[in-house]
Amino acid sequence: MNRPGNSNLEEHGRNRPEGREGMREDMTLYKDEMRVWSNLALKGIDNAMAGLATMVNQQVRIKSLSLRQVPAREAPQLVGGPEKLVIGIYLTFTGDATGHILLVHQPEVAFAIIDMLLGNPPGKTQSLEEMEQSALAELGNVIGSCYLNAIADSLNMSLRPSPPDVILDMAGAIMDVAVVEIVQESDDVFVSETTFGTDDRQASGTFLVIPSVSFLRIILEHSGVRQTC
Amino acid sequence: MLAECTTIDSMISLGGHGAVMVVGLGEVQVTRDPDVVLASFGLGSCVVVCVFDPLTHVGGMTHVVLPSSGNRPVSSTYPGKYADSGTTHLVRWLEGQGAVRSRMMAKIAGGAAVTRGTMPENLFDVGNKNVLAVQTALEREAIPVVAYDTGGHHGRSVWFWVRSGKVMVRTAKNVTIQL
Repeated sequence: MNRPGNSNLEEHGRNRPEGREGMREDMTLYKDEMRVWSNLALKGIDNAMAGLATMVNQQVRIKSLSLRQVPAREAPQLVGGPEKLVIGIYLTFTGDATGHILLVHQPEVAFAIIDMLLGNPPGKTQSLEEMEQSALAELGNVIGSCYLNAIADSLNMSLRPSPPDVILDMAGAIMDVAVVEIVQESDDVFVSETTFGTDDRQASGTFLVIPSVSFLRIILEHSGVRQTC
Repeated sequence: MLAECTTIDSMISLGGHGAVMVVGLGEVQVTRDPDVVLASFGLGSCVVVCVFDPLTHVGGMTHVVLPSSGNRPVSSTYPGKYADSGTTHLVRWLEGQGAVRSRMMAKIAGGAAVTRGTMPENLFDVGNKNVLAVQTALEREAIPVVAYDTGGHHGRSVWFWVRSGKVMVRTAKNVTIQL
């Protein structure tokens, strides 16, 4: 697996004002807090993409990584705009912290991945029936578990993935599922966004991890960069 | 089906000098310009509430995300986030723009269950709960729901012509219906 150099990793976050260590209630991340989240996210993503490479039996190249805080209303733009028809593999995770994992593909790309997974000749899959959904769900299982295991091991936490749901729908409708939970606690959504592809470019997609506010609080407390009441 | 897509696009472009005003997640928009088309795209469990006064042609749209604010403060960025407070906000804003409550009518769309069960436990059936909460809030304001397209398992986009009160809904299955 190849990962772009650090210069390609977009990290967002504010500079921490002097004398403002710890003890904050809002969830805007300062740069040092974003660094903690990004180090963890990288471990998870590396492991998830290694899982994907094994599944499709090809080298997977990470094209971009970014960690950002976006207003909830702009979240569907992360997956091509609210009306764009996509295939999403969606799972939640629970345990010591909670959040959402979403793997998004254009339908024709998802069909190509299904062909790889099922050993079909390229171009055979043209629709999303039960067998095809199972293949993508299994992919979601592997990628989700790889990602969560890496993070759980780092933090000595327990994180359990849900069974994946495979959905063909408007991107906005799929994003609603994750965003609805986040907006109960925050007007912004934190997201780690990874775009990836195989060398032959058949298997490309976007891998989103959307932690809940509690997840962010837990990892920041764990790392010691934030104390809360 | 492509023809139906074209129909909406052409109706918007032929609809006069007005523009499409997008109402994003948790937002509320009200207009007195009868040429404006209010629109909301890619709704899953969210519900769009369109309310209009057919005499003054004042109309507005709320993009509801969750059923109830409970005791939580409502953010000024997303006044339409909750069905209860968002509907109240919309109706008061419409009244402020000259709409009369006794003439107001509502059309609602959305509230789908897009996943087959994968979701946090406290959000189970949230689309249906959103629809019920919107209906309750409108009932409290004595505003009748004259048309609706709710529930199901697919995403929707919604356009609302303030001049006529017409609402068009296009689903992820590329089916278009008029409310």
